[in-house]
Amino acid sequence: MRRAVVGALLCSATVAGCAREAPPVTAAQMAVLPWDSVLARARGSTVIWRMWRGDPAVNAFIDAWVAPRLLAQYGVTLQAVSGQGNELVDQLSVEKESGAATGAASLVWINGETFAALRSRQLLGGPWSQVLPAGAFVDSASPIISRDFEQDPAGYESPWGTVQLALIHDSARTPQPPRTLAELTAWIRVHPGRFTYDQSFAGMTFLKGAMYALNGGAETFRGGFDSTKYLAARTRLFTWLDSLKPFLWRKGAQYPVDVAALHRLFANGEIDFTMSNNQNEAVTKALQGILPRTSRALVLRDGTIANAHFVGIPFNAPNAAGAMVVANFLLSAEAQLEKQRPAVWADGTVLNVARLPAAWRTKFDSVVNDPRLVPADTLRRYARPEVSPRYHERLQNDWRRMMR
Amino acid sequence: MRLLHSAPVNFIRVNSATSRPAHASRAVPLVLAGTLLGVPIAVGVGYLVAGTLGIVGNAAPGGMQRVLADGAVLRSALLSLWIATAGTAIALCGALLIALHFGDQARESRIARRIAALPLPVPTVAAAVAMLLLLSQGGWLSRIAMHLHLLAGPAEFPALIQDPWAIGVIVAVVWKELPFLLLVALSLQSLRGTALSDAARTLGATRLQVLRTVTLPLLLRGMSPSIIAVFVFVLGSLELPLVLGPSAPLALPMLIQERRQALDMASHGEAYVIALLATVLALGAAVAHEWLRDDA
Repeated sequence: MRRAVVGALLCSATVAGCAREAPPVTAAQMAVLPWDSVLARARGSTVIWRMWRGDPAVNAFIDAWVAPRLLAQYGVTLQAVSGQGNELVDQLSVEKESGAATGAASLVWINGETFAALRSRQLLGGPWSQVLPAGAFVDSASPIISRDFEQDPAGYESPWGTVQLALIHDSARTPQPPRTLAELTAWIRVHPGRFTYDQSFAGMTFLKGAMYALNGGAETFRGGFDSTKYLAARTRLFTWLDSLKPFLWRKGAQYPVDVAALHRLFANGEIDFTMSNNQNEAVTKALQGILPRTSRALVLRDGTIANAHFVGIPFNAPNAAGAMVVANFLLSAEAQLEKQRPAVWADGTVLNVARLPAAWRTKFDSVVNDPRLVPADTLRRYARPEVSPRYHERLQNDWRRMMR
Repeated sequence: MRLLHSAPVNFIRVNSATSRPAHASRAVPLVLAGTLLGVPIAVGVGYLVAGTLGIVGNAAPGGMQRVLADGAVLRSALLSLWIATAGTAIALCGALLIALHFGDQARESRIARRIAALPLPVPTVAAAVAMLLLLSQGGWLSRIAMHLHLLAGPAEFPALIQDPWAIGVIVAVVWKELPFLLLVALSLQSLRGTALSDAARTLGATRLQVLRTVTLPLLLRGMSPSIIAVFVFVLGSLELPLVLGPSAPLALPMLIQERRQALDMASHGEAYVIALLATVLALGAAVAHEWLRDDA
């Protein structure tokens, strides 16, 4: 393994040598070995993890908490580097086209449309995730975790967190917030200029949730992308948006560029709601001083979209064994608990906490029962699954073309 | 881009030197500099052309036609040209006014130069955030006005950030680029001295005539590489529109980024085409500048 890593390093130095380098052991080949053998091969190796690096809190968790423990417990050096979504698809496509046997990254952070794109181009190694020992405690009964935007992970990715869209309001400013989409619609009309959504991921997820609610629920969109269904649903959604437009911030002529800009408008008092794909961000961002201390999250009773995020191993990963060890560690109770603390990241666990030993259950409960957070059973009751990533893609494209 | 900023000083030195035939010893650094500057540009433009033609990336065929027919691209191009033109013009006018006012007074000129140097090291993105804190509807100015009961709420403060005319972006451009153009103007003036304008005055020209026919044309001609550098830099700058600009239309660099990061792969090819278009606009400005100079 170490030779493969050295080979990969040499490759990046001398591109010409790449073609002659023997291909590394793939994740699928590694998955048939006993776990002890995977651990032995991973010891002393380096894993380069391409991931979204946009949140300092997440970066700190990875660099200052996960990495030192991996090194101490498994002898694996973890290096997180920047790269997400289509960048990953682009990069791996180029590596595949150029015929290089060994890529740079051994682990990638993915879900939804990125997973779909990587799978359809055969850029992921696997199946491997079914052999992780820590996977035994994953809440595989949950439709949010066992499916990735309706796709079966099929062993090609391993879950490591869940999030759910929530609206955020200031309990001091708006003590009686709307609780349903209909109430929200009425509220927006009575408070012109005080609501908007951002034009990137969180805003589009909010719109997709509204599209579910206006078209008979998430069930309508199950079973892959259906163009006829989508167009009918889009008409209802855009009609609703058109009726709201005059009452939105800047009369719907401008939209915040991303969720950070939306948070800023909210914190500045220019609008009364912000939102987040992470149900706990009202608390974490208040701890960081970005949002007011009196910020609270709420989930609309029509349901809000929840999804899981995963790690995958590229087809040309130089260190599949090390990557599997990292994925396994991310599923450990200690890593999942740390990740869920509001002061750390507040990312939801993918474990079925009820099946953990009692000592761990108590620890998880103390984190989840923070009175500032949305209660876990409320979240579960109103969680709605993602549907085919094509819906998100079309909605984003059509919104930019027709509504902006 | 910032490399160009040293151009006016070199220009003067070259002109004041007596003309000599180029020696071989001069050719080596010329070739070296040409390679260092030219190769990255050639590779970049080559990559854009390859992306447009679908040789690299995921461009779908017909990308060029789609982009040229796309109203959003046209609106973005117009917005970016507007920002670059208005920002550069206002910065230039301000710089000229100050330079002409202080230019012939050595002490004031030195003080003006020191003050003008202050915004130069501030990173563009920091300048953008400062403008955001100051000028947004929930920003400091707005809050001061609300405390003084001049405004009832943030919405009454004029929309300068994320406004369709990109006023916030232009204010930030002027704040960053006026001092730079002023420094160029002041150093040109101190290098030139007052001999020519004194001669014109002796020959009976009025102050206004001297300004119109001697001082201003000389100054503008010396400053023109810097003016064009500012224009091209602003045209391609992402940070200011990202923090301060409108979401509809998007400035050209932001539109490129959005298409590049879009979920559907067809948009990725369009990003190459739009980037090529932006390059053509910038090159067009530089070529027009050279052409006008040769003409003058």
